[in-house]
Amino acid sequence: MDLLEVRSVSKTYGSGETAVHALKKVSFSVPKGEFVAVIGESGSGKSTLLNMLGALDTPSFGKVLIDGRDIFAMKEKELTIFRRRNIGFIFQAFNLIPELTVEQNIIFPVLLDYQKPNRKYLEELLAVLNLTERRHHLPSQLSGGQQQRVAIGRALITRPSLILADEPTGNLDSQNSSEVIAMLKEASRKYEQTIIMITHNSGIAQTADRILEVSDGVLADFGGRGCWE
Amino acid sequence: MKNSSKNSLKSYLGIVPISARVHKRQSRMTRICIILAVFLVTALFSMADMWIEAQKTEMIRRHGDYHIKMQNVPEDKMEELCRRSDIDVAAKVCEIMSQAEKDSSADLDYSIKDRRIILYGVEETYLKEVRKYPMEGTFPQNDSEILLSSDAKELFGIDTGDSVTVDTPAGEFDYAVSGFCEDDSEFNQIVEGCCAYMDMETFGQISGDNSEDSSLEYYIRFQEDANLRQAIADVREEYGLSDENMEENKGVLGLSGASSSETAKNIYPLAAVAFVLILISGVLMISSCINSNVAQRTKFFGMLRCIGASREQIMRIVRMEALNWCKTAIPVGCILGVVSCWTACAVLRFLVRGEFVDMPLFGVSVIGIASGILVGIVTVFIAAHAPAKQAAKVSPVAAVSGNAGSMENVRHAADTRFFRVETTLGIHHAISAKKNLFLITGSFALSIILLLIFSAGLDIVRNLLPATSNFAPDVAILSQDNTNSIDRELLREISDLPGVEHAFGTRMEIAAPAEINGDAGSVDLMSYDEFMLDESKRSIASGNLSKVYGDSKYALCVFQEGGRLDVGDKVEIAGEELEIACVLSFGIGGVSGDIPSVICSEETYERLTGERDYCMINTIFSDHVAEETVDAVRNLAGSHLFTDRREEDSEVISSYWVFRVAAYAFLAIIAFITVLNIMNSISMSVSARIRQYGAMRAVGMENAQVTRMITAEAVTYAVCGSIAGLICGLLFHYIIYKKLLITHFGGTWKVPVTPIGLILLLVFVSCVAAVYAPAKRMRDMEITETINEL
Repeated sequence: MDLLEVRSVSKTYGSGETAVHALKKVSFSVPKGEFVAVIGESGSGKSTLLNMLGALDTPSFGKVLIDGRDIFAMKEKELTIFRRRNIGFIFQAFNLIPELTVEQNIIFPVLLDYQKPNRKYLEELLAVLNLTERRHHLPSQLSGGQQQRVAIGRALITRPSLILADEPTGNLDSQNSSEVIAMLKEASRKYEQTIIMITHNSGIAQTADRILEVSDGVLADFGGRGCWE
Repeated sequence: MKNSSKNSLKSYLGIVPISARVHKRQSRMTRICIILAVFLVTALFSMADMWIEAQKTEMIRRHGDYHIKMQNVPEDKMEELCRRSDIDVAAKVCEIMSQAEKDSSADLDYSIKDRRIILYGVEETYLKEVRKYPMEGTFPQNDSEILLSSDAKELFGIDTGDSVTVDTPAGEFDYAVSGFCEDDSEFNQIVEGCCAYMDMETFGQISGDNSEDSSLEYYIRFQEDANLRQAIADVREEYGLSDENMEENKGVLGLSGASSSETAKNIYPLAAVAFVLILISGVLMISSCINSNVAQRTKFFGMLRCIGASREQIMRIVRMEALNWCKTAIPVGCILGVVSCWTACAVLRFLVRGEFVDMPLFGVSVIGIASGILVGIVTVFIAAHAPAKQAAKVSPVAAVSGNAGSMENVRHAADTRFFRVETTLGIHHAISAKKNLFLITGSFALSIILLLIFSAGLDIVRNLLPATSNFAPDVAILSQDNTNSIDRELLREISDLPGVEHAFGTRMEIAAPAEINGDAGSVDLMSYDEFMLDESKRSIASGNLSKVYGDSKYALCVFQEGGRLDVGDKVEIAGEELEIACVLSFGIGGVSGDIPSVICSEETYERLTGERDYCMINTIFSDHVAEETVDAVRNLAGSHLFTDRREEDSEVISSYWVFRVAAYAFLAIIAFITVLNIMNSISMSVSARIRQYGAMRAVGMENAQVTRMITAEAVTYAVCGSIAGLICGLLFHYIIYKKLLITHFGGTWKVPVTPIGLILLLVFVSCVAAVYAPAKRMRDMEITETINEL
């Protein structure tokens, strides 16, 4: 079964003459464990698409199903909890909480769920992300790459089935970028997670299992890596 | 930091204290605001409590520490009542009937060495527990001992152990003095003697021998102050007591809260009003602090929402942040409040004295501290509510798309037609955030309204306390029968004494027949000399005072609620018509109460009545007058009545000043809060837009333009606040004047120019102060720094 199913999602901002059609009848589905890259020019509608997938924004038409559940049919509170447990976000600007340490930043979503963090899993994550040494550091004491790895850790700690990443390497140099992507892939493979990642970097897109391109709100599926090559 | 936060995160709310530690500086203003609110309420309620405590001490000293007094109740019933479990103290007192009422000129029935004594048969508890008289020696142990007032020591030249002889109608009785107690020396002075206390049996013998009726009274004190009303009602019903049998100690009861007295009823509502005012201004200022704080962290809240925080959790975080500040701010505020209460009590007790001598020194008021804590928590909770909701509303998209927040709020483009672009932007910044504008305008307006209300209140107090007027005399000489029988030569003699600043006489004819506007009636006719007329200028309510001087056809009157005269009214006295040229709001006049008083110059009075002597001569002394001068005036008074008002007046004046200082201090703090508030708001607003400002500077905005932009924002707040405040404030001022002042003291309402000037000055100062720091911060910052600051 597909983990993610997008059914003719459209999004229009404004109305009448000033209406902007950000997404036009976008449909696709992603099976569990796939690593999908979304590419497209600035303003093409990639971020809007990602916001829909993460239930941050509501579509004008259409449905998004995650694990078979229509996320826009859920009530606000239900959706919050669903998002908390099933979707992990990684931002371009890291968005770490500056006053919390690496470890605290990572476990924060678990605390929001009133759970106790699983120590063993945390240690494992820290090790995978190569942050064990820096666990008590503040974000300001880390490099960009390290900060993004913390953000990845935070996205992984709840073991979400879907990870949405909006240009996670946008603020990183090439070495850090490939490092972060490698970590992301390794982690997702290990924990069987689906990743949808927006990127401008075609090199990074190449490493994905599948590439989707958004152009003027219309989605084109380039299929698996094989198709491109 | 690294170690302190290590492993300390147990719940998501754990972020609150950690974040607070890091952002200590940002929350400083908010904490100061909370401290201020808590401090004000604690100090105010503590002072009210201390004042009531002092009143209670005074009441107990004057009336005794008991709740009810019973008389004419059968003894068996009384004994039964005294055994009740809720009664703390019950004391019996016997007094020979009617002796206290006899005045000093009556026969000396009971005396020691020809000095009247008032005999009491008492139980020891009465002196020790009810009256709490400090005692020297012991209570009479047998029928040969007697206890006397301390005044007796000087009066009779005796000491403990000496023997005294009590003369009674039935013969002489000898007693040994077992001790002295410091009882009511005022009473002793009135009876020109002292009190003598003996045990019940000894008293029984002496009253029996004299076959006197003695009245037996029981003084009862209940165990606790709580439910006193109920306890008293129970006793009354159970033993079928009437008002005649039972008398309440109103002074003490009233102050214990089982109130039937006015004092306690009056002070708590006043304190409650102040509580509400502080609460409102506290809510306004703290709310605007938290609001800006939240506005700056849109992205943070959006991110929290992205990683799974629910709206409730965000609200909880914001509330917890606010309550977290209380953790330190409330204790600090309470301590400050208690300490300033101590200071104020000490000042009142040792420097102001008068009615404040009983102020407790190091009293800790539970009510004060409790209300301080309450105001702190309630203010913060109310203040945090709206911003918390605001924060919860932040869309998770805000985190993904960085600037979503600041762009979304802008609905209209700034209109650059009227001002230069930087000024327009500043104004736009102020009015685009409606809630913030409302809060700041509100807190500004509130301070201005309060200032105007206080100013009106002080005017009322000044009118209520005539001793604060310039011709309140220190001593006065009055003729015995209210006729003009004091020789006018006396006035000259008094004026010539050294240390006499002014001496002035008043002639008076009470209820002189007169025609008022053609209707027959009567008036109190009085004369003012030139000094009094000059001094009356300050209290002119309406009309022209200058017409009254010299031999004229004009008179003035003092405003009275009852039979009032107005400017232009015609009064015919002794066949001559006088026109009222002026109405004073207060002055010496109105002797007969409901009939109008007409005041004219000495010359006019003489022409009308032919009388040249005085009914009253008033004297004002210079500040450090010798007692000999006062005595000289007393001697000159001869058979006329002599009253010395100095002490009483100085008490009134000091009370007035205490009130004034307290009112202005309260006001100053509220004004201070406003200034802090606007400073805080501007600073927050600048911080929130720091990147924008950086970008503007990067594209060529000068430092001076940045300053102008910030100034425009501050001025917008100030103008809105001032307009709202002045409109509402003047309305209140007018209403207070109309309802309270004009109906009681006459006069007309005038725009209070001085307070308004003061207010505008305050507003100006707060604008300057508010702009200075943020503008400097911007100037000192590198452009690149402001762009990159996140």
